[in-house]
Amino acid sequence: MTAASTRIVVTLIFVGALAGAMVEVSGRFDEIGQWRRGPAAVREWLIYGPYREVIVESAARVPPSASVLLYSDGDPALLPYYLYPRAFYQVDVEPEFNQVFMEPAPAAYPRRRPQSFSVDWVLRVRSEQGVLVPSLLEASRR
Amino acid sequence: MSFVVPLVLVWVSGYFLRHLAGDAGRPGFSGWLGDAPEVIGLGAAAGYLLFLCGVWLRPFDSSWLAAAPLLLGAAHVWKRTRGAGTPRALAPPDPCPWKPGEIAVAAVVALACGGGLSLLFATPLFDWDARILWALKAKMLATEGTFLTDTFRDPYRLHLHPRYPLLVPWLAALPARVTGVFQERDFQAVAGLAAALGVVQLYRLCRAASSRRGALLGALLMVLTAAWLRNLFAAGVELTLTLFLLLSVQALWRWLERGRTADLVLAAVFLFGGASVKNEGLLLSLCLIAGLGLVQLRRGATGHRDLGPVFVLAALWLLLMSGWWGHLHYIPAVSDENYLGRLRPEHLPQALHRVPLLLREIGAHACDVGTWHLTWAALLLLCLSRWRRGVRADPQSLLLALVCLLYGGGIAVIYLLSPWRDLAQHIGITFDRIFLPLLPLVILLLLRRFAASPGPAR
Repeated sequence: MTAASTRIVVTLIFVGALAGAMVEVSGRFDEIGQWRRGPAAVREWLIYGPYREVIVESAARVPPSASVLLYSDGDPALLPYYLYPRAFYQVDVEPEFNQVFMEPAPAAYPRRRPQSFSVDWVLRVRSEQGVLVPSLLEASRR
Repeated sequence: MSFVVPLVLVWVSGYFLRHLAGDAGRPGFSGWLGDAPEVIGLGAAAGYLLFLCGVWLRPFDSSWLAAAPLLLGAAHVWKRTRGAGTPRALAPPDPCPWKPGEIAVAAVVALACGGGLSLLFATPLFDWDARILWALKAKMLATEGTFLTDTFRDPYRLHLHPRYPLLVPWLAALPARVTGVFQERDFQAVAGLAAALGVVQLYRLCRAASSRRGALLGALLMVLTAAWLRNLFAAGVELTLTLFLLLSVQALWRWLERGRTADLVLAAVFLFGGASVKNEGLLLSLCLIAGLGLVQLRRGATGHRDLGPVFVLAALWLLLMSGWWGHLHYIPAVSDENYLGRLRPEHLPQALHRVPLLLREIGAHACDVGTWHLTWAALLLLCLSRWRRGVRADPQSLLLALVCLLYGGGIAVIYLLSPWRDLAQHIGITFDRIFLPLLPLVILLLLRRFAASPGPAR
Protein backbone atom coordinates (compact mmCIF):
# COMPACT_ATOMS: atom_id res chain seq x y z
CA MET A 1 0.00 0.00 0.00
CA THR A 2 1.46 3.36 -0.98
CA ALA A 3 1.75 6.36 1.36
CA ALA A 4 -1.03 8.17 -0.52
CA SER A 5 -3.48 5.29 -0.29
CA THR A 6 -2.62 4.79 3.40
CA ARG A 7 -3.47 8.44 4.02
CA ILE A 8 -6.80 8.04 2.22
CA VAL A 9 -7.69 4.97 4.29
CA VAL A 10 -6.66 6.69 7.55
CA THR A 11 -8.70 9.77 6.63
CA LEU A 12 -11.74 7.61 5.85
CA ILE A 13 -11.39 5.80 9.17
CA PHE A 14 -11.17 9.06 11.09
CA VAL A 15 -14.07 10.66 9.25
CA GLY A 16 -16.22 7.61 10.05
CA ALA A 17 -15.08 7.64 13.69
CA LEU A 18 -15.71 11.37 14.08
CA ALA A 19 -19.21 11.10 12.60
CA GLY A 20 -20.06 8.18 14.89
CA ALA A 21 -18.66 10.02 17.91
CA MET A 22 -20.73 13.11 17.15
CA VAL A 23 -23.92 11.06 16.95
CA GLU A 24 -23.08 9.32 20.23
CA VAL A 25 -22.20 12.52 22.06
CA SER A 26 -25.28 14.29 20.75
CA GLY A 27 -27.47 11.43 22.03
CA ARG A 28 -25.78 11.69 25.40
CA PHE A 29 -26.38 15.46 25.50
CA ASP A 30 -30.10 14.82 24.86
CA GLU A 31 -30.14 12.36 27.76
CA ILE A 32 -28.36 14.81 30.06
CA GLY A 33 -30.75 17.60 29.00
CA GLN A 34 -33.75 15.45 29.90
CA TRP A 35 -32.17 14.59 33.23
CA ARG A 36 -31.22 18.16 34.12
CA ARG A 37 -34.22 20.07 32.82
CA GLY A 38 -37.00 17.52 32.70
CA PRO A 39 -39.87 17.49 35.20
CA ALA A 40 -39.78 15.04 38.11
CA ALA A 41 -41.87 12.48 36.23
CA VAL A 42 -39.38 12.38 33.34
CA ARG A 43 -36.44 12.06 35.73
CA GLU A 44 -38.13 9.22 37.56
CA TRP A 45 -38.88 7.50 34.27
CA LEU A 46 -35.22 7.82 33.26
CA ILE A 47 -34.13 6.00 36.41
CA TYR A 48 -36.95 3.60 37.18
CA GLY A 49 -38.71 3.22 33.82
CA PRO A 50 -41.86 1.09 34.11
CA TYR A 51 -40.80 -0.01 37.61
CA ARG A 52 -41.50 3.38 39.17
CA GLU A 53 -44.73 2.44 40.91
CA VAL A 54 -43.36 -0.85 42.26
CA ILE A 55 -40.15 0.73 43.56
CA VAL A 56 -41.76 3.79 45.11
CA GLU A 57 -44.51 1.82 46.84
CA SER A 58 -42.18 -0.95 48.06
CA ALA A 59 -39.62 1.58 49.33
CA ALA A 60 -42.33 3.40 51.25
CA ARG A 61 -44.03 0.39 52.82
CA VAL A 62 -41.41 -2.36 53.17
CA PRO A 63 -38.73 -1.69 55.81
CA PRO A 64 -35.12 -2.11 54.61
CA SER A 65 -34.51 -5.13 56.81
CA ALA A 66 -37.61 -6.99 55.53
CA SER A 67 -37.80 -9.91 53.12
CA VAL A 68 -40.21 -10.17 50.19
CA LEU A 69 -41.57 -13.10 48.21
CA LEU A 70 -41.95 -11.88 44.65
CA TYR A 71 -44.20 -13.03 41.80
CA SER A 72 -43.76 -11.10 38.58
CA ASP A 73 -44.83 -11.39 34.95
CA GLY A 74 -42.39 -8.63 34.00
CA ASP A 75 -38.62 -8.65 34.31
CA PRO A 76 -38.01 -7.82 37.99
CA ALA A 77 -34.23 -7.44 37.69
CA LEU A 78 -34.14 -3.76 38.60
CA LEU A 79 -35.96 -4.16 41.92
CA PRO A 80 -33.06 -5.50 44.01
CA TYR A 81 -30.84 -2.63 42.87
CA TYR A 82 -33.10 0.15 44.11
CA LEU A 83 -34.66 -1.71 47.00
CA TYR A 84 -31.55 -3.33 48.51
CA PRO A 85 -31.06 -4.34 51.36
CA ARG A 86 -34.61 -5.70 51.20
CA ALA A 87 -34.23 -9.39 50.30
CA PHE A 88 -36.34 -10.59 47.36
CA TYR A 89 -37.10 -14.27 46.90
CA GLN A 90 -38.82 -16.22 44.14
CA VAL A 91 -40.28 -19.70 44.17
CA ASP A 92 -38.38 -20.47 40.95
CA VAL A 93 -34.62 -20.39 40.89
CA GLU A 94 -34.79 -19.06 37.36
CA PRO A 95 -36.63 -15.74 37.09
CA GLU A 96 -39.95 -16.52 35.44
CA PHE A 97 -39.50 -13.73 32.97
CA ASN A 98 -36.48 -15.40 31.37
CA GLN A 99 -38.79 -18.01 29.89
CA VAL A 100 -40.22 -15.32 27.64
CA PHE A 101 -37.06 -14.98 25.62
CA MET A 102 -34.92 -17.98 26.48
CA GLU A 103 -35.01 -21.70 25.92
CA PRO A 104 -35.58 -23.66 29.11
CA ALA A 105 -32.46 -24.87 30.91
CA PRO A 106 -31.21 -28.39 30.02
CA ALA A 107 -32.22 -29.62 33.46
CA ALA A 108 -35.23 -28.13 35.22
CA TYR A 109 -34.35 -25.87 38.12
CA PRO A 110 -35.82 -26.66 41.52
CA ARG A 111 -38.94 -24.92 42.78
CA ARG A 112 -39.92 -24.25 46.39
CA ARG A 113 -43.36 -24.18 47.90
CA PRO A 114 -44.43 -20.60 48.67
CA GLN A 115 -45.33 -21.62 52.22
CA SER A 116 -41.76 -22.69 52.90
CA PHE A 117 -40.47 -19.12 52.69
CA SER A 118 -40.24 -17.22 55.92
CA VAL A 119 -40.81 -13.75 54.50
CA ASP A 120 -42.39 -10.54 55.78
CA TRP A 121 -44.11 -9.41 52.57
CA VAL A 122 -45.54 -10.83 49.36
CA LEU A 123 -45.27 -8.69 46.24
CA ARG A 124 -47.18 -9.52 43.06
CA VAL A 125 -46.22 -7.51 40.01
CA ARG A 126 -48.25 -7.60 36.82
CA SER A 127 -47.54 -5.89 33.57
CA GLU A 128 -50.28 -3.56 32.29
CA GLN A 129 -49.67 -1.69 29.05
CA GLY A 130 -45.93 -1.65 29.57
CA VAL A 131 -46.11 -0.47 33.19
CA LEU A 132 -45.56 -2.76 36.15
CA VAL A 133 -48.30 -2.55 38.74
CA PRO A 134 -47.60 -3.77 42.30
CA SER A 135 -49.86 -5.57 44.70
CA LEU A 136 -48.17 -5.64 48.08
CA LEU A 137 -49.38 -7.70 51.04
CA GLU A 138 -47.93 -8.43 54.45
CA ALA A 139 -47.10 -12.12 54.54
CA SER A 140 -49.18 -12.69 57.65
CA ARG A 141 -52.30 -11.71 55.67
CA ARG A 142 -51.73 -13.84 52.60
CA MET B 1 -13.09 12.47 46.98
CA SER B 2 -14.05 9.19 48.69
CA PHE B 3 -12.17 7.47 45.90
CA VAL B 4 -8.80 9.03 46.75
CA VAL B 5 -7.83 6.85 49.76
CA PRO B 6 -8.47 3.48 48.04
CA LEU B 7 -6.79 4.76 44.87
CA VAL B 8 -3.64 5.73 46.77
CA LEU B 9 -3.55 2.35 48.54
CA VAL B 10 -4.04 0.49 45.26
CA TRP B 11 -1.32 2.62 43.69
CA VAL B 12 1.15 1.94 46.52
CA SER B 13 0.43 -1.82 46.30
CA GLY B 14 1.08 -1.75 42.56
CA TYR B 15 4.24 0.27 43.05
CA PHE B 16 5.72 -2.26 45.48
CA LEU B 17 4.62 -5.21 43.36
CA ARG B 18 6.24 -3.72 40.30
CA HIS B 19 9.48 -3.21 42.18
CA LEU B 20 9.32 -6.77 43.44
CA ALA B 21 9.00 -7.88 39.83
CA GLY B 22 12.27 -6.09 39.13
CA ASP B 23 11.06 -2.99 37.29
CA ALA B 24 11.69 0.47 38.70
CA GLY B 25 9.48 3.30 37.50
CA ARG B 26 10.40 5.67 34.73
CA PRO B 27 11.66 9.14 35.65
CA GLY B 28 9.66 12.35 35.33
CA PHE B 29 5.98 13.20 35.13
CA SER B 30 5.51 11.51 31.75
CA GLY B 31 7.10 8.35 33.17
CA TRP B 32 4.82 8.50 36.20
CA LEU B 33 1.77 9.00 33.98
CA GLY B 34 2.84 6.27 31.55
CA ASP B 35 3.38 3.79 34.39
CA ALA B 36 0.03 4.55 36.01
CA PRO B 37 -1.99 1.87 34.14
CA GLU B 38 0.49 -0.86 35.02
CA VAL B 39 0.90 0.21 38.64
CA ILE B 40 -2.84 0.61 39.28
CA GLY B 41 -3.67 -2.59 37.38
CA LEU B 42 -1.17 -4.54 39.48
CA GLY B 43 -2.42 -2.98 42.72
CA ALA B 44 -6.05 -3.71 41.88
CA ALA B 45 -5.39 -7.33 40.93
CA ALA B 46 -3.23 -7.93 44.03
CA GLY B 47 -5.76 -6.31 46.37
CA TYR B 48 -8.60 -8.35 44.88
CA LEU B 49 -6.59 -11.56 45.23
CA LEU B 50 -5.98 -10.72 48.88
CA PHE B 51 -9.70 -10.10 49.30
CA LEU B 52 -10.56 -13.51 47.77
CA CYS B 53 -8.11 -15.26 50.06
CA GLY B 54 -8.86 -13.25 53.19
CA VAL B 55 -12.64 -13.19 52.95
CA TRP B 56 -12.72 -16.71 54.43
CA LEU B 57 -11.28 -15.28 57.64
CA ARG B 58 -13.43 -12.19 58.11
CA PRO B 59 -15.58 -9.79 56.08
CA PHE B 60 -13.82 -7.09 54.18
CA ASP B 61 -13.54 -3.84 56.10
CA SER B 62 -11.46 -0.70 56.01
CA SER B 63 -8.57 -2.36 57.85
CA TRP B 64 -8.18 -4.74 54.93
CA LEU B 65 -7.52 -1.78 52.67
CA ALA B 66 -4.11 -1.23 54.18
CA ALA B 67 -3.16 -4.93 54.19
CA ALA B 68 -1.96 -5.23 50.59
CA PRO B 69 0.37 -2.20 50.62
CA LEU B 70 1.73 -3.17 54.05
CA LEU B 71 2.44 -6.78 53.05
CA LEU B 72 3.96 -5.82 49.71
CA GLY B 73 5.94 -2.96 51.27
CA ALA B 74 7.37 -5.35 53.86
CA ALA B 75 8.32 -7.81 51.11
CA HIS B 76 9.95 -4.97 49.19
CA VAL B 77 12.03 -3.87 52.19
CA TRP B 78 12.97 -7.48 52.94
CA LYS B 79 14.12 -7.97 49.36
CA ARG B 80 16.18 -4.76 49.41
CA THR B 81 17.85 -5.54 52.75
CA ARG B 82 18.82 -8.98 51.50
CA GLY B 83 20.38 -7.29 48.49
CA ALA B 84 18.32 -9.48 46.18
CA GLY B 85 18.82 -7.27 43.17
CA THR B 86 18.05 -3.63 42.53
CA PRO B 87 15.03 -2.94 40.31
CA ARG B 88 16.05 -2.19 36.77
CA ALA B 89 15.48 1.45 35.86
CA LEU B 90 13.65 1.72 32.54
CA ALA B 91 14.63 4.21 29.88
CA PRO B 92 12.91 7.61 29.93
CA PRO B 93 9.52 7.11 28.26
CA ASP B 94 9.97 9.36 25.28
CA PRO B 95 13.18 11.35 24.94
CA CYS B 96 12.33 13.10 21.62
CA PRO B 97 11.08 16.70 21.94
CA TRP B 98 7.42 17.24 21.16
CA LYS B 99 6.49 19.06 17.93
CA PRO B 100 3.62 21.57 17.87
CA GLY B 101 1.47 19.27 15.74
CA GLU B 102 1.95 16.41 18.22
CA ILE B 103 1.07 18.66 21.15
CA ALA B 104 -2.12 19.66 19.29
CA VAL B 105 -3.13 16.02 18.70
CA ALA B 106 -2.30 15.14 22.34
CA ALA B 107 -4.49 18.05 23.46
CA VAL B 108 -7.36 16.76 21.28
CA VAL B 109 -6.98 13.26 22.79
CA ALA B 110 -6.95 14.70 26.33
CA LEU B 111 -9.92 16.93 25.54
CA ALA B 112 -11.93 14.08 24.00
CA CYS B 113 -11.13 11.79 26.91
CA GLY B 114 -11.85 14.47 29.52
CA GLY B 115 -15.08 15.45 27.76
CA GLY B 116 -16.18 11.82 27.69
CA LEU B 117 -15.49 11.49 31.42
CA SER B 118 -17.46 14.64 32.25
CA LEU B 119 -20.42 13.30 30.25
CA LEU B 120 -20.18 10.01 32.16
CA PHE B 121 -20.63 11.77 35.51
CA ALA B 122 -23.40 14.11 34.30
CA THR B 123 -26.21 11.66 35.14
CA PRO B 124 -26.82 8.71 37.46
CA LEU B 125 -26.42 5.21 36.08
CA PHE B 126 -29.01 4.51 33.39
CA ASP B 127 -27.49 1.42 31.83
CA TRP B 128 -29.39 -1.78 32.61
CA ASP B 129 -26.45 -4.19 32.94
CA ALA B 130 -24.34 -1.69 34.87
CA ARG B 131 -27.07 -1.45 37.47
CA ILE B 132 -28.55 -4.94 37.75
CA LEU B 133 -25.34 -6.91 37.36
CA TRP B 134 -22.39 -4.86 38.56
CA ALA B 135 -23.45 -1.88 40.67
CA LEU B 136 -25.86 -4.13 42.59
CA LYS B 137 -23.00 -6.44 43.51
CA ALA B 138 -20.89 -3.41 44.47
CA LYS B 139 -23.71 -2.24 46.73
CA MET B 140 -23.94 -5.69 48.33
CA LEU B 141 -20.19 -5.93 48.89
CA ALA B 142 -20.10 -2.37 50.22
CA THR B 143 -22.83 -3.18 52.74
CA GLU B 144 -21.99 -6.75 53.71
CA GLY B 145 -18.23 -6.77 53.12
CA THR B 146 -18.34 -10.33 51.81
CA PHE B 147 -20.01 -12.59 49.30
CA LEU B 148 -20.12 -15.55 51.69
CA THR B 149 -23.70 -14.72 52.63
CA ASP B 150 -27.19 -15.76 51.53
CA THR B 151 -27.25 -12.71 49.28
CA PHE B 152 -24.98 -14.61 46.92
CA ARG B 153 -25.51 -18.19 48.03
CA ASP B 154 -29.27 -18.63 48.40
CA PRO B 155 -30.49 -19.87 45.00
CA TYR B 156 -34.01 -18.55 45.62
CA ARG B 157 -32.81 -15.01 46.25
CA LEU B 158 -33.52 -12.71 43.29
CA HIS B 159 -29.99 -11.80 42.33
CA LEU B 160 -28.97 -12.06 38.71
CA HIS B 161 -25.77 -13.89 37.89
CA PRO B 162 -24.24 -14.31 41.34
CA ARG B 163 -21.38 -16.29 39.76
CA TYR B 164 -20.07 -13.34 37.77
CA PRO B 165 -16.56 -12.28 38.88
CA LEU B 166 -16.33 -9.43 41.35
CA LEU B 167 -13.24 -7.33 40.66
CA VAL B 168 -15.12 -4.23 39.47
CA PRO B 169 -17.82 -4.42 42.20
CA TRP B 170 -15.03 -4.88 44.75
CA LEU B 171 -13.18 -1.81 43.45
CA ALA B 172 -16.39 0.23 43.43
CA ALA B 173 -17.15 -0.90 46.99
CA LEU B 174 -13.76 0.24 48.35
CA PRO B 175 -14.74 3.90 48.91
CA ALA B 176 -17.89 2.80 50.71
CA ARG B 177 -15.82 0.69 53.09
CA VAL B 178 -14.04 3.94 54.01
CA THR B 179 -17.00 6.33 54.09
CA GLY B 180 -19.77 3.89 54.99
CA VAL B 181 -22.01 4.97 52.12
CA PHE B 182 -22.20 3.41 48.65
CA GLN B 183 -22.56 5.96 45.88
CA GLU B 184 -23.18 5.33 42.20
CA ARG B 185 -20.43 7.82 41.44
CA ASP B 186 -17.87 5.42 42.90
CA PHE B 187 -18.98 2.82 40.39
CA GLN B 188 -18.80 5.37 37.58
CA ALA B 189 -15.36 6.42 38.81
CA VAL B 190 -14.03 2.88 38.30
CA ALA B 191 -15.23 2.93 34.69
CA GLY B 192 -13.87 6.44 34.13
CA LEU B 193 -10.49 5.61 35.60
CA ALA B 194 -10.25 2.39 33.57
CA ALA B 195 -11.16 4.32 30.41
CA ALA B 196 -8.50 6.97 30.97
CA LEU B 197 -5.83 4.43 31.92
CA GLY B 198 -6.78 2.32 28.90
CA VAL B 199 -6.13 5.27 26.59
CA VAL B 200 -2.75 5.94 28.24
CA GLN B 201 -1.85 2.26 27.98
CA LEU B 202 -2.87 2.08 24.33
CA TYR B 203 -0.73 5.14 23.63
CA ARG B 204 2.24 3.49 25.33
CA LEU B 205 1.88 0.30 23.31
CA CYS B 206 1.34 2.23 20.09
CA ARG B 207 4.35 4.40 20.85
CA ALA B 208 6.53 1.35 21.17
CA ALA B 209 5.38 0.25 17.74
CA SER B 210 5.30 3.50 15.79
CA SER B 211 6.05 7.21 15.73
CA ARG B 212 4.59 9.51 18.36
CA ARG B 213 2.16 10.93 15.83
CA GLY B 214 1.00 7.43 14.93
CA ALA B 215 0.59 6.55 18.61
CA LEU B 216 -1.42 9.70 19.29
CA LEU B 217 -3.64 8.99 16.29
CA GLY B 218 -4.16 5.43 17.58
CA ALA B 219 -5.27 6.74 20.98
CA LEU B 220 -7.45 9.37 19.32
CA LEU B 221 -9.12 6.73 17.16
CA MET B 222 -10.07 4.75 20.24
CA VAL B 223 -11.63 7.71 22.08
CA LEU B 224 -13.56 8.68 18.95
CA THR B 225 -15.00 5.23 18.37
CA ALA B 226 -18.71 5.33 19.13
CA ALA B 227 -18.65 1.85 20.71
CA TRP B 228 -16.02 3.01 23.22
CA LEU B 229 -17.91 6.24 24.00
CA ARG B 230 -21.19 4.35 24.44
CA ASN B 231 -19.52 1.99 26.88
CA LEU B 232 -17.97 4.89 28.76
CA PHE B 233 -21.31 6.69 29.13
CA ALA B 234 -22.84 3.44 30.37
CA ALA B 235 -19.97 2.93 32.90
CA GLY B 236 -19.39 -0.48 31.30
CA VAL B 237 -17.05 -2.99 32.93
CA GLU B 238 -15.66 -3.74 29.47
CA LEU B 239 -13.40 -0.70 29.84
CA THR B 240 -11.69 -2.38 32.80
CA LEU B 241 -11.41 -5.61 30.84
CA THR B 242 -9.85 -3.67 27.96
CA LEU B 243 -7.28 -2.16 30.32
CA PHE B 244 -6.25 -5.55 31.70
CA LEU B 245 -6.10 -6.99 28.19
CA LEU B 246 -3.71 -4.22 27.10
CA LEU B 247 -1.59 -4.73 30.22
CA SER B 248 -1.42 -8.47 29.52
CA VAL B 249 -0.41 -7.80 25.93
CA GLN B 250 2.35 -5.47 27.10
CA ALA B 251 3.73 -8.04 29.55
CA LEU B 252 3.67 -10.77 26.91
CA TRP B 253 5.33 -8.52 24.31
CA ARG B 254 8.07 -7.77 26.82
CA TRP B 255 8.50 -11.45 27.47
CA LEU B 256 8.76 -12.14 23.74
CA GLU B 257 11.50 -9.50 23.57
CA ARG B 258 13.43 -10.14 26.75
CA GLY B 259 12.46 -13.65 27.83
CA ARG B 260 12.40 -12.56 31.51
CA THR B 261 10.36 -14.80 33.84
CA ALA B 262 9.14 -11.78 35.85
CA ASP B 263 7.25 -10.61 32.74
CA LEU B 264 5.44 -13.94 32.60
CA VAL B 265 4.46 -13.51 36.25
CA LEU B 266 3.16 -10.00 35.54
CA ALA B 267 1.26 -11.34 32.50
CA ALA B 268 -0.36 -13.99 34.71
CA VAL B 269 -1.44 -11.32 37.22
CA PHE B 270 -2.95 -9.17 34.47
CA LEU B 271 -4.69 -12.17 32.89
CA PHE B 272 -6.12 -12.95 36.31
CA GLY B 273 -7.27 -9.33 36.57
CA GLY B 274 -9.01 -9.54 33.18
CA ALA B 275 -10.71 -12.85 34.00
CA SER B 276 -11.86 -11.32 37.30
CA VAL B 277 -13.66 -8.49 35.52
CA LYS B 278 -16.13 -10.58 33.52
CA ASN B 279 -16.39 -13.99 31.94
CA GLU B 280 -15.27 -12.74 28.53
CA GLY B 281 -11.96 -12.06 30.29
CA LEU B 282 -11.74 -15.77 30.98
CA LEU B 283 -12.03 -16.49 27.27
CA LEU B 284 -9.57 -13.69 26.43
CA SER B 285 -7.05 -15.11 28.91
CA LEU B 286 -7.33 -18.55 27.33
CA CYS B 287 -6.94 -16.98 23.88
CA LEU B 288 -3.81 -15.09 24.97
CA ILE B 289 -2.25 -18.21 26.47
CA ALA B 290 -3.16 -20.31 23.41
CA GLY B 291 -1.98 -17.48 21.13
CA LEU B 292 1.36 -17.34 22.92
CA GLY B 293 1.67 -21.12 22.52
CA LEU B 294 1.07 -20.84 18.77
CA VAL B 295 3.54 -17.96 18.50
CA GLN B 296 6.14 -20.09 20.28
CA LEU B 297 5.49 -22.97 17.89
CA ARG B 298 5.88 -20.57 14.99
CA ARG B 299 9.12 -19.23 16.46
CA GLY B 300 10.45 -22.79 16.44
CA ALA B 301 11.70 -22.13 12.92
CA THR B 302 14.10 -19.52 14.34
CA GLY B 303 15.32 -21.61 17.26
CA HIS B 304 13.03 -20.12 19.96
CA ARG B 305 10.61 -23.02 20.08
CA ASP B 306 9.95 -23.63 23.74
CA LEU B 307 6.52 -24.30 25.14
CA GLY B 308 7.76 -24.52 28.73
CA PRO B 309 7.16 -20.81 29.52
CA VAL B 310 3.64 -21.07 28.09
CA PHE B 311 2.86 -23.90 30.50
CA VAL B 312 4.38 -21.86 33.33
CA LEU B 313 2.12 -18.92 32.40
CA ALA B 314 -0.94 -21.19 32.23
CA ALA B 315 -0.08 -22.79 35.59
CA LEU B 316 0.41 -19.39 37.28
CA TRP B 317 -2.86 -18.12 35.87
CA LEU B 318 -4.73 -21.25 36.98
CA LEU B 319 -3.21 -20.90 40.44
CA LEU B 320 -4.38 -17.29 40.73
CA MET B 321 -7.84 -18.13 39.36
CA SER B 322 -8.27 -21.05 41.75
CA GLY B 323 -8.98 -18.56 44.56
CA TRP B 324 -12.20 -17.50 42.82
CA TRP B 325 -13.10 -20.93 41.47
CA GLY B 326 -12.91 -22.30 45.00
CA HIS B 327 -15.58 -19.82 46.04
CA LEU B 328 -17.73 -20.66 43.00
CA HIS B 329 -18.27 -24.12 44.41
CA TYR B 330 -20.55 -22.52 47.03
CA ILE B 331 -22.42 -20.14 44.73
CA PRO B 332 -25.36 -21.72 42.86
CA ALA B 333 -25.61 -21.67 39.07
CA VAL B 334 -29.07 -20.17 38.80
CA SER B 335 -29.26 -18.73 35.34
CA ASP B 336 -30.36 -19.99 31.97
CA GLU B 337 -27.39 -18.06 30.65
CA ASN B 338 -25.10 -20.62 32.20
CA TYR B 339 -23.04 -20.95 29.02
CA LEU B 340 -20.28 -22.99 30.58
CA GLY B 341 -22.89 -25.56 31.58
CA ARG B 342 -24.04 -25.74 27.95
CA LEU B 343 -20.63 -25.86 26.32
CA ARG B 344 -20.75 -29.52 25.44
CA PRO B 345 -19.61 -30.82 22.07
CA GLU B 346 -22.82 -32.82 21.58
CA HIS B 347 -24.87 -29.60 21.58
CA LEU B 348 -22.95 -28.05 18.70
CA PRO B 349 -24.40 -30.16 15.84
CA GLN B 350 -27.93 -29.19 16.93
CA ALA B 351 -26.93 -25.54 16.78
CA LEU B 352 -25.33 -25.59 13.33
CA HIS B 353 -28.55 -24.48 11.63
CA ARG B 354 -27.96 -21.11 13.27
CA VAL B 355 -24.67 -20.50 11.41
CA PRO B 356 -26.13 -18.52 8.46
CA LEU B 357 -28.09 -16.28 10.83
CA LEU B 358 -25.03 -15.89 13.05
CA LEU B 359 -22.80 -14.85 10.15
CA ARG B 360 -25.43 -12.45 8.81
CA GLU B 361 -25.94 -10.77 12.18
CA ILE B 362 -22.26 -10.55 13.10
CA GLY B 363 -21.52 -9.17 9.62
CA ALA B 364 -24.26 -6.57 9.95
CA HIS B 365 -22.97 -5.35 13.32
CA ALA B 366 -19.33 -5.44 12.27
CA CYS B 367 -20.17 -3.29 9.24
CA ASP B 368 -22.00 -0.70 11.33
CA VAL B 369 -19.75 2.23 10.40
CA GLY B 370 -21.44 4.56 12.88
CA THR B 371 -20.42 2.35 15.79
CA TRP B 372 -17.17 0.76 14.65
CA HIS B 373 -16.08 2.89 11.65
CA LEU B 374 -13.82 0.51 9.65
CA THR B 375 -12.33 -1.48 12.55
CA TRP B 376 -13.36 -4.96 11.48
CA ALA B 377 -13.00 -4.38 7.76
CA ALA B 378 -9.45 -3.15 8.39
CA LEU B 379 -8.66 -6.25 10.49
CA LEU B 380 -10.01 -8.54 7.80
CA LEU B 381 -8.09 -6.74 5.03
CA LEU B 382 -4.90 -6.74 7.08
CA CYS B 383 -5.09 -10.46 7.75
CA LEU B 384 -5.91 -11.26 4.14
CA SER B 385 -3.33 -8.99 2.55
CA ARG B 386 -0.39 -9.14 4.93
CA TRP B 387 -0.69 -12.40 6.81
CA ARG B 388 2.34 -14.14 5.40
CA ARG B 389 4.93 -11.36 5.29
CA GLY B 390 3.51 -8.80 7.66
CA VAL B 391 1.66 -10.54 10.47
CA ARG B 392 3.08 -14.04 10.63
CA ALA B 393 6.70 -12.89 10.50
CA ASP B 394 6.36 -10.59 13.53
CA PRO B 395 5.66 -12.52 16.79
CA GLN B 396 4.00 -9.55 18.50
CA SER B 397 1.64 -8.87 15.59
CA LEU B 398 0.97 -12.58 15.27
CA LEU B 399 -0.02 -12.72 18.94
CA LEU B 400 -2.52 -9.87 18.48
CA ALA B 401 -4.00 -11.37 15.30
CA LEU B 402 -4.33 -14.81 16.91
CA VAL B 403 -6.07 -13.38 19.96
CA CYS B 404 -8.56 -11.56 17.71
CA LEU B 405 -9.24 -14.68 15.64
CA LEU B 406 -9.43 -17.11 18.57
CA TYR B 407 -11.65 -14.81 20.61
CA GLY B 408 -13.95 -14.15 17.64
CA GLY B 409 -14.23 -17.90 17.06
CA GLY B 410 -14.90 -18.58 20.73
CA ILE B 411 -17.63 -15.97 20.88
CA ALA B 412 -19.20 -17.40 17.71
CA VAL B 413 -19.43 -20.82 19.40
CA ILE B 414 -20.99 -19.26 22.48
CA TYR B 415 -23.54 -17.43 20.32
CA LEU B 416 -24.36 -20.73 18.60
CA LEU B 417 -25.09 -22.28 21.98
CA SER B 418 -27.03 -19.24 23.16
CA PRO B 419 -30.26 -20.13 24.96
CA TRP B 420 -31.94 -17.01 23.57
CA ARG B 421 -34.84 -17.87 21.31
CA ASP B 422 -34.05 -14.87 19.11
CA LEU B 423 -30.33 -15.07 18.32
CA ALA B 424 -30.44 -11.79 16.38
CA GLN B 425 -31.74 -10.02 19.47
CA HIS B 426 -29.01 -11.55 21.62
CA ILE B 427 -26.26 -10.51 19.21
CA GLY B 428 -27.78 -7.04 18.85
CA ILE B 429 -27.72 -6.49 22.61
CA THR B 430 -24.26 -7.88 23.29
CA PHE B 431 -22.07 -7.45 20.19
CA ASP B 432 -20.68 -4.00 21.01
CA ARG B 433 -19.85 -4.91 24.58
CA ILE B 434 -18.31 -8.26 23.79
CA PHE B 435 -16.07 -7.06 20.99
CA LEU B 436 -15.00 -3.74 22.50
CA PRO B 437 -11.81 -5.16 24.11
CA LEU B 438 -10.56 -6.14 20.63
CA LEU B 439 -10.75 -2.54 19.36
CA PRO B 440 -7.35 -1.42 20.77
CA LEU B 441 -5.77 -4.67 19.55
CA VAL B 442 -6.92 -3.94 16.00
CA ILE B 443 -5.59 -0.37 16.28
CA LEU B 444 -2.26 -1.74 17.50
CA LEU B 445 -2.11 -4.27 14.69
CA LEU B 446 -2.80 -1.60 12.09
CA LEU B 447 -0.14 0.67 13.56
CA ARG B 448 2.45 -2.10 13.71
CA ARG B 449 1.85 -2.99 10.12
CA PHE B 450 1.31 0.38 8.46
CA ALA B 451 3.09 2.97 10.61
CA ALA B 452 6.00 0.98 11.95
CA SER B 453 9.03 3.01 12.94
CA PRO B 454 11.40 2.65 15.87
CA GLY B 455 9.88 3.65 19.21
CA PRO B 456 11.42 3.91 22.68
CA ALA B 457 11.88 0.90 24.94
CA ARG B 458 8.72 -0.39 26.61
